[in-house]
Amino acid sequence: MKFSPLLVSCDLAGPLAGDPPALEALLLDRAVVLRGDWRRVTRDGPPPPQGEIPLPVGATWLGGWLVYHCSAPILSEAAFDAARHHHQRYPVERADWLDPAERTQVNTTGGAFKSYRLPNRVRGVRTVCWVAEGNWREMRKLLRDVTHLGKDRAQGYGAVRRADADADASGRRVSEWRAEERPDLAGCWWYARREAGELVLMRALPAGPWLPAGLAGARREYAAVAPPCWHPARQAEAVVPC
Amino acid sequence: MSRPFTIYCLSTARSPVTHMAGTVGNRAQIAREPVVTELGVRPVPFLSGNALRSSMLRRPGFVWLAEACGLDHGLTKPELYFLLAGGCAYEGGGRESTQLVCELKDVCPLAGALGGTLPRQILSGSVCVDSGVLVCAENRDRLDTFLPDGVIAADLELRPADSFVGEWQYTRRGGEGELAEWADGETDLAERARRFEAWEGEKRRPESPEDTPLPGEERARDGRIKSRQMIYGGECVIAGAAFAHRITLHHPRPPEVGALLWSLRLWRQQGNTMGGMSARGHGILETVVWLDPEPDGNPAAEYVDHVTRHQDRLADWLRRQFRPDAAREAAGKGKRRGKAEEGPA
Repeated sequence: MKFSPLLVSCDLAGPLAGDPPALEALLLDRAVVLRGDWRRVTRDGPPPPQGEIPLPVGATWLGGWLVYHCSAPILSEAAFDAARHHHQRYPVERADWLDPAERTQVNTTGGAFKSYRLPNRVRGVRTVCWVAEGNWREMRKLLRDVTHLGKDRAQGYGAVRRADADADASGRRVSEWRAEERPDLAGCWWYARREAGELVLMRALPAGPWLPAGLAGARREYAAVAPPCWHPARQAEAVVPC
Repeated sequence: MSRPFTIYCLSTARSPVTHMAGTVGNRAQIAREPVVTELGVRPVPFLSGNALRSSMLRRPGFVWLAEACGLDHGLTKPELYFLLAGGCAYEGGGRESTQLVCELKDVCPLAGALGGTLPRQILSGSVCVDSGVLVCAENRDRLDTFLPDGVIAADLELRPADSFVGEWQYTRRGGEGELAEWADGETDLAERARRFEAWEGEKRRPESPEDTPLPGEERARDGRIKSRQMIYGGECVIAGAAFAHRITLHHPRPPEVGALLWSLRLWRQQGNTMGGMSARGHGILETVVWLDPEPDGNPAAEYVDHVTRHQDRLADWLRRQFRPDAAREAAGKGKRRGKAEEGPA
């Protein structure tokens, strides 16, 4: 499989809640679904071996971690940064469904049935992009069905703009993911060089002596450096962009 | 099937839509979302994805399911919360059962699609319900994402969002004062009837400043008699406005597709309403639906059949999750009874 330096991007059709995921995490999620064994891994059990499911992006072993050649998501300037509220309350209007012994007072200001109005930070981000080294033909097969990014996707946040019907061979409208071949960005998936000459961190990397001296835009954190990033066993001493 | 199943909806308001989000002074304000336009960021009315999800899918789907499975009585509070609002975790977690996820998807496809929270585990769903996007000039370049091709013609001139915002106003009788006048220790029904007739007669008299205030009226400081009715009102999206919205089911399985289509059908049959003030006739929508891809057969009918065949399993599954002690006791009794039956008669 031929890999080339790419700038992968998508436009959003609505506000983004939370942060978009790492590109390799998105690809792995879709690859697992297409393989059909997507129910197997939970937080409770061990994570799958690193690299078990091949992804169409380059990767290098670094301090015991298989780190993919993808940058962290890069967002366009947010046109707005606001809060939206999410509501939930106990359905008291159907109290007649309760067993007579259960028809007691429901505490809606605390406890298990507390009504809530949770604020949710949303941003007006138009474009999300990643710098990566990969095979676009294979990446696109995985990404075309990624319809939402970020947090609270079930409520429609982070909807990816859809392409025209002819964008897919099957005639179905798919998510509009684009890639631009950018030889000038080769190597920028981990570090990018500023005009002043210093290196800037572009993604979470395991902390260790392999990191270049004088790395800018980085802070130490306990974070995931390999997918699935939600699995506790993937957490490690790392440097993350800031 | 690994490709997502999408339901595109275009809902036209047949009465004012009052999907509210707070008040300014004593006037209710409709929910708006900031939208990036060529002229900058503009607040545009919308229907939240969370509200659409609850009104279109969870409520109609689970009310029908509970009635079909005989779960519309004898529930515990957490069970009712799980069925109609998604539930909450109130016992220690820390472990996740994959078996539980598989069982839920099998026993209750609707819960498998929408997700929910059991006492010890959060079950994620696979449905994304986008917010309702107002068909207006500000949203022009977003509509392609939420509607199939060609529904909104490229050369159609859309009106600005502000032109779809209207107002409503109602009055509420000053009930407290009126009640006080009628309930001043008087219990004699005949006396009450006599006073009512007198009041009716007084009401027919031409008004003059010398009149005494009637029930529902009061004398202001300047001596004039004025109504005690309370006016309340707010904003609305006017009838005729249209919202584009979309439901995306990831990793769809036929029973889940059927559960969504059946819930959607129930919502449409039950009045197709959205937002508040539905008791006063607000929020009636007329919804046109497109499916992508068009499913094989009749998944809604297959879902109804699935529920009919597994109705006892759902009740049993719910009891095991929410009342494990009672379920164990019932299972133990069953075993003991089984052993007794096996023994010599």
